[in-house]
Amino acid sequence: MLIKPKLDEIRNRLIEMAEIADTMLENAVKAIIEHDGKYLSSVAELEEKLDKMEVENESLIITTIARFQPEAKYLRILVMDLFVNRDLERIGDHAENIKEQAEHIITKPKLKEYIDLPIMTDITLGMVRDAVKCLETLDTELARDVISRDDKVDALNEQIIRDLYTYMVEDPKNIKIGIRLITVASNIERVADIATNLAEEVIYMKEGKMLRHQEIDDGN
Amino acid sequence: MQEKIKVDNLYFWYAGQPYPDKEKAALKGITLPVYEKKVTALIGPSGCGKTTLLRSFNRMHDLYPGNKYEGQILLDGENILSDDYDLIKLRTKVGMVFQKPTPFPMSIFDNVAYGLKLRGIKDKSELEGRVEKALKQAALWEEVKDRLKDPATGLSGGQQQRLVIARALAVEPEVLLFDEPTSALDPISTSKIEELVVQLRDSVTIIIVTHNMQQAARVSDYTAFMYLGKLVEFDKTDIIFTSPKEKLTEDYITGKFG
Repeated sequence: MLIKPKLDEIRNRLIEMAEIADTMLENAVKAIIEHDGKYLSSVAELEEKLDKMEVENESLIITTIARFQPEAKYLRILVMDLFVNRDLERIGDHAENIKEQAEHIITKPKLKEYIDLPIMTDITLGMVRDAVKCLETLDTELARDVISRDDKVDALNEQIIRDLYTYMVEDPKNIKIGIRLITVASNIERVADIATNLAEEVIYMKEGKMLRHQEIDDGN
Repeated sequence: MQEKIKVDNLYFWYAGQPYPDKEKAALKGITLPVYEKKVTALIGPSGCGKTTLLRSFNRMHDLYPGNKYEGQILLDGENILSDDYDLIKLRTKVGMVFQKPTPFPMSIFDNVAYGLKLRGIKDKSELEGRVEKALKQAALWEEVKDRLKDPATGLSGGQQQRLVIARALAVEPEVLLFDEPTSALDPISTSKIEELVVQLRDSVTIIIVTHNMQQAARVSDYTAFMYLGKLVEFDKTDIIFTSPKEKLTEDYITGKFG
């Protein structure tokens, strides 16, 4: 099939994008946790690269649809690729948002030792990595597992917000940094949502089932 | 990117058309580059001149009296329409594959060896080597290697078409013309020929006429859209099929006419 090399090219480019987005997120959060700005310089640079790749990929996907008029599985792959392309770019946007907060946060002394934030970040990065793995392997079992982890991230986000409220209530001087840290947690939470979307898209691709806005089923 | 062929303000009149009335020519002032080792597709509705243009590239029209050209077709910078251009040389450089497979009534081996023998190659081992190479290039070798002495007419339509491609490739042409090469074939044979066209691009310059727009989209690097003997638009296939510049092209691609 003449379309196969195109699909492989698109897939490889998406995986490269995923790796970039992953590095951006990891570095942006690491700067906060380690209270060190050295991790931030690469984030902006990678953001530019990611944006460029998104535009190029979109054009590649649309051209492939126009030229090969795919049906059934190939159509689902390309539609999924279009969503995935945008999702990955959005992960980059969230990493960029976190970086902007980090630039302020690290100029002030640490409000507290971060306990939940690294856990939340690890789970989220794990979700992104596994979702991308699913894109390569079309492993729907792993995809369902990724989706199930989103609740844990949501709970940690709530936990972080509650925790920061107490610091802000105790001393209004903590409000500025507190709000910034809440913004960071919300951005990480959004990344976990995107990883969930990616996993749902893999299930759509493999099984033709739309899972968005539904509880996950057992795959039967 | 190298221009293998340059069509420069080409007009063509079939015998009986009112030469030199340019308004009534079959081809009206075509100017078009054909890039080396790329696939260029000529598309357009019936009667637009795409086959007429294709047949100009190896001067097939000379086989019938009274046809007239004006303008130039430069192949490697030489005008192939000039009277002193050697037609034998031209047709060795520019091979052609037709709509219906045209195997000669002889064995598979002899079909492919035919052009080589005409060129005076008699050495058996050289002939065998080049026949095998051409059949492999045409993705037919595995299917026929044990029955090279069988008559070519016993092959299926799709195999015959690949045999004809092998015969054209055996003499190592620089340009290969395809005139609706799959319109007489089933979908599986069609996709084999399409894959072959894409593979052959590495070694030869290809020009393909097809009324199947999707085929042009799948196999070509560049597409020329023709209408009523004129070239309406020429561009990268990626552009022609996603955002053509001319409304006429857009209308044809989206099936509004043709």
